[in-house]
Amino acid sequence: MKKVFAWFLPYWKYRYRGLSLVVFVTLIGIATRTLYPFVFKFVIDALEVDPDPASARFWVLAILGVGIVRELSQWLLPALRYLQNIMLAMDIRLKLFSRILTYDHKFFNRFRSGDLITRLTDDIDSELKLSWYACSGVMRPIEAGFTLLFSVGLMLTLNWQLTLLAVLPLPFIVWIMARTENVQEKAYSERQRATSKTVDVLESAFSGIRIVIGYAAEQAQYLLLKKALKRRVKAEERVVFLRSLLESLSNFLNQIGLLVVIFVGGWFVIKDFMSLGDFYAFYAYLSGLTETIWTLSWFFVSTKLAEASVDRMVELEKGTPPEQGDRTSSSNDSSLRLQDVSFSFHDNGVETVAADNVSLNIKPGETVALVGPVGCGKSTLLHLAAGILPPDSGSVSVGKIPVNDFTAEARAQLVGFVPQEAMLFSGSVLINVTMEREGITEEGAEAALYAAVADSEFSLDKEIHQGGVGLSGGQRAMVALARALAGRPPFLVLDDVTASLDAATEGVFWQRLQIMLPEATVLVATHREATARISDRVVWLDRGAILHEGAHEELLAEFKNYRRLFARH
Amino acid sequence: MWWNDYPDDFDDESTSLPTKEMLRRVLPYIRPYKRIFIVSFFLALLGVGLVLLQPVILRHIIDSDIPSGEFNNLARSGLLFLGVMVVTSIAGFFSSWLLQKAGVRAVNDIKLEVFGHLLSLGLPYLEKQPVGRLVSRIESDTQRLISLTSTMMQRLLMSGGMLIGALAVLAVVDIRLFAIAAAILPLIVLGTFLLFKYLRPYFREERVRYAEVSSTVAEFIPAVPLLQLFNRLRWARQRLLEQNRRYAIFSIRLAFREYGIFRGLSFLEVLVTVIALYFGAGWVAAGSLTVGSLVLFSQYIAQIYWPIIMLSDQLAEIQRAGGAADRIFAALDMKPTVPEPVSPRPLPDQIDTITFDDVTFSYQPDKPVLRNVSFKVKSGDTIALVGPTGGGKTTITSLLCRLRDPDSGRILLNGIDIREFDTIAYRQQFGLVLQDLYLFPASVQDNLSAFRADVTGRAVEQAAQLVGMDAVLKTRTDGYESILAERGKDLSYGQRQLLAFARALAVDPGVLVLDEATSSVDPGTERRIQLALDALLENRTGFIVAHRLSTIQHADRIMVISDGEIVEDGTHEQLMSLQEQYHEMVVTQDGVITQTNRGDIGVTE
Repeated sequence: MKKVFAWFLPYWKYRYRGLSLVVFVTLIGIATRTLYPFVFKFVIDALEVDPDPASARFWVLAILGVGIVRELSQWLLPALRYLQNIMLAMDIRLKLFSRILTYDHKFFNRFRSGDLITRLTDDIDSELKLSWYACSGVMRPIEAGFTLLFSVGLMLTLNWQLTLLAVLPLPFIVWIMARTENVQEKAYSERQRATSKTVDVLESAFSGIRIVIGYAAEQAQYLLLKKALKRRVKAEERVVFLRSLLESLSNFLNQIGLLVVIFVGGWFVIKDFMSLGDFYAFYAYLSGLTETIWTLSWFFVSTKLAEASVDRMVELEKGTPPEQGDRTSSSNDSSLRLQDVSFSFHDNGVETVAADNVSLNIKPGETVALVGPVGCGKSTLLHLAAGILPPDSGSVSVGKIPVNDFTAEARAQLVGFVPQEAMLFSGSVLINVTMEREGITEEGAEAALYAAVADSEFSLDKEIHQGGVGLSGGQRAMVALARALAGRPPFLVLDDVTASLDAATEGVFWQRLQIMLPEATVLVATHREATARISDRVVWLDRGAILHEGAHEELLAEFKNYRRLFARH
Repeated sequence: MWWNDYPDDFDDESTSLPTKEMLRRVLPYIRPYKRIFIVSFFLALLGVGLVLLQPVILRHIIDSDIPSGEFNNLARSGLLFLGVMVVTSIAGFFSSWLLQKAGVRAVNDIKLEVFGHLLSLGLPYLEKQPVGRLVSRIESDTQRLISLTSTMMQRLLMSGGMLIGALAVLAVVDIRLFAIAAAILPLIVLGTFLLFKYLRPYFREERVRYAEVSSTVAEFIPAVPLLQLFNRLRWARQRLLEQNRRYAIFSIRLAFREYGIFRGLSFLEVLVTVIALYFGAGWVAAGSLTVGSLVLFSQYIAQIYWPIIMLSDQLAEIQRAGGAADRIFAALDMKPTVPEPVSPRPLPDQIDTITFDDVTFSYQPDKPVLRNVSFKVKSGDTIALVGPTGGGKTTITSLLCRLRDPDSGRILLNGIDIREFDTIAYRQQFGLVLQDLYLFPASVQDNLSAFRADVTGRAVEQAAQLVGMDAVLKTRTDGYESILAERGKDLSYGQRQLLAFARALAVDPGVLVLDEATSSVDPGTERRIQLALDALLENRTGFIVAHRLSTIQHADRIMVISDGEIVEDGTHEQLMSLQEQYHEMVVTQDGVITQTNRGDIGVTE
């Protein structure tokens, strides 16, 4: 519980004004709610034995007054709590999202995108999750606790002996219910896991639907789901059983107080120890406490559930930002220099060397192609050159300045990067190309699209749907290319972008690039001979190291294995 | 969940099924659990009766036991009260447990059925649907549908029972109190109805706005490295903030309205109590009403109105369930796009010929992708399909595997229309390597066997050896049982392609179909695959779609597909000597843009 509260504390501090208002309205609500049976008592007392309708009617009007305030506060209270739930959810989401935005590649190796998305949405917003807990989950038990206090206080003024007897079982009930917290939490967590598992099966079946149908594996997928659902049904049934049992049990236990009131209170009235109105007030208070006790005992379970979600959030807070410097500008020098650069991936204790002491110099305006077999480290080298990955050892400099010395802004202006798989956002083509960067005009975007050889139907105002549904691989690549070109960077890093362009289009692209950015330094990874051929120099990579470099024709003439790389004999 | 809120899921107004029709269709799923439902409903009604009994006992205590001055009378009522409590709790437990349990099972049944049915609808339908929407169809829609029919039915029953029971008791106790309670009833029902009608569109809008928030998160998270590089972090944050704010403001406003109306209704309850007490005070003074009856009335008032008001709270849920029902039954009513034959023919033991007979196909009406394509292939041949992007090469392979059916014309296997075979059995003849390299987040074994039980571990291992991935896979902690990352993210693009290739080999297909199978493999690796392929294709038929022409020069036959037609057809030598489209493609590709001046594009060889 301490951990959960500590985690929420900064969020609560930030919203303390709104939360104070919630507390204030809660107190008013409790006051009017507990006053209601108290006033009712006077009506009954006025009518009992020696009826006095005038006095009774006075108290009836008092009931109306209390009722109006009660309904007003009961309107505002859940609405205000909901307001805080939503605002706190927004605070949590944005804070974590902002942090995640700053993390380096190590963080993203640890988490699947789908998992991160689930944590930033479902874990926060689902029923009884963090958003609910942040305000309602905490305020409702506070309300219940105060209701209990107020009620007991008022009852004490009516008859302290009966009060003590009637509320005697209450601590015991709360204790019993709290004891079930572990059992309940376990059942809920298992249900959560079983649910994720079925969703995983469904998601992968539909994501790979071409494979499923192409390989006639429908039956196999059906059986997979059936298996996952079997576990799910078991988990759900357990939750349902527990919840029904505990609800009925706590309802029953809570009514024990009512029995005390009937037996003892009734006897008190008979003995004239207490009025009939008092008897009714006790009866009304104890009926009202049922929900209160349930809320209080549920608080232990919900805190335990919140703890699981908080743990998942805390994991998101553990990332490190990539290195960054404070150089704001560069000289106009767009040369690239890699000095003894090494980089390895670590996966389950297995180390894969992706760059092995690579040294490479590229002159301003030069176009260099990286070639080599699959898995030789081309992509890694590009990521190192662009400053996306930090080298384990060695240095990467652009214009003689280490690439990690630049501010993010300066680096963004210096380097244009096009990844192998294009990332598109929903919105217009214009938004996708400019990403609303300062200094990129519509004309600039248009020119970039033209250079990226986008077809004529691809206008700036064309809407792209979520994930770029309905666009071909070539069209996606064109948008990604245009995005990098629009910034007119002096240094371009292209990861196998020409793969989804046909030969003729590729030719046009190089030509238009030359016109748009004649001075640009270009580093391009490729399997295409045509690309190698237009390059000023080819760097031939093998197992993370440079094997040879030189002009394409020279390498062709000199090395048999190089010829093989392009399927020549 | 982020995947289950698709904006399209909210336009449920247009096709709403009539409630009666919906119930008729839900009934078959409930029927297997008929007995549980009936018992649960019975117990629920019993519980209602017992709950109504409590104020009656209280009235008896106030009006007769206490004035009698006899503790024994009080004790008798108290014990009765205890008995009622015990039975209420037990009935309540069984009623709620049984109902929900039956609900869980019914949801399970319907989930499996919807999943099975969706899979049978075929690729042309499924590939157009966003994954999230399909998942939400099975996950949340089914849940809502069953919660509507089971929980709602029980709630309606209980509310109705409570209302009628309480009014009946009141009528017996005092007809004037009954009149007061009944007079305001229409007002509450009307208010509830208006609440429902007024807020309905807002609930939908709220969900649309939330879906925007979650899809913004879903879009930005995978793009974080890109956003960092382009220094657009603040921009991304701002976009999410705006979306979230749009949703939050709307949702909060809605909550204030909703609770406002809701509380307005429950204020009527206070009003009725005040009216009854006001007049009741006079009646008690006049001796025509007991205090116990007045107490009974105030206890009942909540029990009469509260269920109705609570129902209004559930109305949004009913609304959603209605939309869910529409979508589920619409999906279940859909016919497979690639229909099964009524009485399938057995597949021939061996494939002799494959024939395209005047095949025309289009994805969009009037825009044919294939036009009157006819060709005949004999078993064992390797056929290469080449030509410009969008020419129809991939379409030919997907028609061949019967991933879709032609608009007109026929595809024949040994002279028999392939639509006459069992679809699954027919497709199992093919090994595919598609442009879509999808790998499942499952074990290597499951991935390479495509989850098929008939593919052995031995076959999988051999296939991996053939493509040179065996060594890489064995370094993994659990070898072939290790789980691949989502979409094979822990492998390079080229390695994924090799695995896709191994998958096609592992199923030991009669016909191998490679669609751009080697576009991201370096030519060295490609040649190694080529050697394996040559051996494999010895006794098999192969269809190869390739951009890189060097890889298919040795095919038995090369077909140039352009603009939906076969424009050239023959061996490499034959087509080269034609000096037409194929020749031109080969020259462009081998060739040849000068390296000294990349602006000058032209053929120099």
